[in-house]
Amino acid sequence: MKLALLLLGGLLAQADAGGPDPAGAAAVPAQHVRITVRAIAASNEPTAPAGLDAKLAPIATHLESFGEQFRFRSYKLLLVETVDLDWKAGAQIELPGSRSLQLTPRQLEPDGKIRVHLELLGEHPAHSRKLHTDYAIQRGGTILVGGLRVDPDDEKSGKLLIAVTQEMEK
Amino acid sequence: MKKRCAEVLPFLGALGDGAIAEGDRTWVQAHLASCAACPDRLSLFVAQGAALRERVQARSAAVSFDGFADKVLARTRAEKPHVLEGTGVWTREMFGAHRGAFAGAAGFALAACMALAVVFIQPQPADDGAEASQVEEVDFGTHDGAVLQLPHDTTVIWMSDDRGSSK
Repeated sequence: MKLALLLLGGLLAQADAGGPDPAGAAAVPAQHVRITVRAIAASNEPTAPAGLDAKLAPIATHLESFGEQFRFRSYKLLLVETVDLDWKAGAQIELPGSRSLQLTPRQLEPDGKIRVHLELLGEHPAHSRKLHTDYAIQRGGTILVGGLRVDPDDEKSGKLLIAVTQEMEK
Repeated sequence: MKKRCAEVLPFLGALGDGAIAEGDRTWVQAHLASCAACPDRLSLFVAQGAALRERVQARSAAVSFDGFADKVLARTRAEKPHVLEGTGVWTREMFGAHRGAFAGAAGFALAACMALAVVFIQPQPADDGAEASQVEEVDFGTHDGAVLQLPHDTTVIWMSDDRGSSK
């Protein structure tokens, strides 16, 4: 009986402390952060193939949610690049239209999300900063950044949509 | 049969057996003393009672109770009760004898189950954006822009066309 009471007490104490750590690896964060960047041309041009590029299947649910609001006719994958980043070490990814994206994983949040610093830079050679922000994203989550033209000089080139996915570590 | 005889008749058996109430004995015996037929009726009742008693005693004397208990036990072994019936009896007997212990154990088990549920059942994330990505304030520079939180944990940072500002 005493053993059972001790077991119950231990369980209650654990529950009171909030249960298992949701981050799982919060105490020992992964050494690398794997991020996949996809550059997508979102277009309403009649000549563009309608629908979603088959290569965009991994982020189809996000693009479908996006499409319900933005109503683009066509989504075509322009490039995809996956990078393994060290904490607080940035990577620069070249995008269509001579622009680039800088990503820096900053820290692992207590809730398991990863805080990332993002900068979108304009065309070479000025490379002026178009936007920058910090965001926290869960493993497997995707954030979409867009609005610029794919080709700054071509109105019919469609909008550049950048999908930044925090990959799940295997 | 006279009216008084008809009234006395139900009491004759009890009188013959010596089981009549004292309040009735007096008037029944007074009638017997003055009636010609009722004493014969009483004699008939007494004779019938004696014959019945003799018959019952004779039959009971003929019955043998040797090994009666063994026969009862053998029959109960041969006619085993149904499992459910046996379980019901066992449960009633056990619960009746150990009611306090059972109540305490049940309370302890309930508390243990609730504790395990608290530990192992993690709250499910609601599909209301609580688990979505969190974007801090976005610096759009010279552009206009907005942050949208869409279904399926889809966060969108959307900025205005850069034509003009980049030129």
